[in-house]
Amino acid sequence: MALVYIVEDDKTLRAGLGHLLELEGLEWCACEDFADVATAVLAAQPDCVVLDAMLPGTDGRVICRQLRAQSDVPIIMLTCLDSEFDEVMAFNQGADDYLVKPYRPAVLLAHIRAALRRKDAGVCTVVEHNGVALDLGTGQVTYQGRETELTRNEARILGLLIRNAGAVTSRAELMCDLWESDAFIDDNTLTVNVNRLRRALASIGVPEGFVSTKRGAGYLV
Amino acid sequence: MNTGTARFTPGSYLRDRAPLLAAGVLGVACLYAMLRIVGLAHPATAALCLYLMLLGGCGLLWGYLRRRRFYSTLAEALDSLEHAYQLPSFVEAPHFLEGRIAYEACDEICHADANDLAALREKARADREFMELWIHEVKTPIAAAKLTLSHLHGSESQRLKQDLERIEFACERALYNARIDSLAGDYAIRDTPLAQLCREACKQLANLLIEMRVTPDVRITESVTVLTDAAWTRFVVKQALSNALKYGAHKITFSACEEHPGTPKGRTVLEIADDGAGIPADEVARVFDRGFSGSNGRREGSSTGMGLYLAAQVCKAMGTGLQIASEEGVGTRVLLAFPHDRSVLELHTCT
Repeated sequence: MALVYIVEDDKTLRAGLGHLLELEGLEWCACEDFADVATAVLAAQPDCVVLDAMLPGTDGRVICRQLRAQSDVPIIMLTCLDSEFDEVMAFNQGADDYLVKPYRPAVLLAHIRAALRRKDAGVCTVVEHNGVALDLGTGQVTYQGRETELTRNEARILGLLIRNAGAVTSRAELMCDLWESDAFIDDNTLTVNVNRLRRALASIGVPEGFVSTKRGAGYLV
Repeated sequence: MNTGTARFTPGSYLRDRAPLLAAGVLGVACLYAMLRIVGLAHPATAALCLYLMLLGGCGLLWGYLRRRRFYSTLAEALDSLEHAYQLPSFVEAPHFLEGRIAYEACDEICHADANDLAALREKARADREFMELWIHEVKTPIAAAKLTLSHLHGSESQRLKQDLERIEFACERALYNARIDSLAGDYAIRDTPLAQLCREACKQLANLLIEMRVTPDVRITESVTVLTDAAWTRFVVKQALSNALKYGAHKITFSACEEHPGTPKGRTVLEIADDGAGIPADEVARVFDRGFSGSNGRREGSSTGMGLYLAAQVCKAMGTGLQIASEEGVGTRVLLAFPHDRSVLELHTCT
């Protein structure tokens, strides 16, 4: 499993980020002491480093340079500064990617995944719930040996529902997630997509009610 | 700068000394009469008086000339000066008494003015700096709140996400307002994919748009790029989106077309059209004014009249054309024109 190292001084942000990575099936670790971050990071041998540019007592860019001198681990810089100068500086210090706060969690996650993919760190892209397994990369869904292919939107919907399994996912959340993938669908299209997803699941024998509607709240698996 | 009516001319100089002149002439006349009574011959008396008058005239001329030099440099300086407080450094102190008194008073006022101005500038700079710092500071908790919310589901979390989006956009507006004076030197013009830029703007306001059941439709070919600063342009597009949201739109269509390609006037025009309430015809011209909120804004009660003003300022600084066309009850079209040839633009803004 891929390991992401988080260098971030804000506790809430760190914990939130960690939780987000866990939900995605990624391992993570972080440091609490920023005296010698580079050594700590290198010792952990992560597959990707998420590095805050502004840290107490030290500078993320300095750490970035130190890391780059000894390792080619992908580094994603997070920063509050959004001038061209800061961006260029970040890349000059060896960062692979650069995100300006406040970033959207989904976007950061996509950047981390992309970094891991480039590094070929074996990101697990299959999510599973009650025997229904979905490959997020290909949209292939498998149930008791039978399989079918979902469209991009259907796969995205099922993926989010399975990640939130046990909790109701609101229609707005589903739409937001689809918008994130450039599919600016409206309410009706979402209904159509969910119905199509249900038909596709039924075609491989997934019991009816696997995706249940919670009236006024959203969907649940 | 020189708007006063008093001008230093020979005529005005003499008029100013009219009593003195009158007294001089009268004095010479009296002298002439007295000398005649005493018994001096006419030619000798007349010659003496003429000589005296000549002396007086020379004195007047000398006085005129030394003043003229000072007043002409003063008038010249006033016409070319940018700031009044610089005056004493451009005009030499005069040698005649009244001039020196006035000059010293002026010098003192200018010094006080310059100090006041410097203090105000320093305060404005400090305020701006604090504002920028504050906004950067607040970005971290916003990012943290977003992360926390991304694990929460249900309608309450959805509402919080919307509010967070609002806060974030308000912060961005404040940031651009703080930067507005230094904007001109702060942008990075790059070849920017237009469709992607519009989609990103929609995503940044996704929770709000979805809540209000507004659906964006990006009808721009992926290959279309414009020369612009992506962050600033996105801010302007978000402003258009936020207005459409506020005024009851349900569909927002993005489209782009090229005008005069291949000529120096060539430009790509981005059109953001919504089907909202529209703007009354008599208000369209004023939407870019600072603090103008219009009848729509007053009805909604949430308008600050800053959004479009800022958008217009940002566009002006970047050299992007910004126009609004609207029909009440039909919708609003926001048009952004990106010139193809930035060098031509730079030339125009320089001259």
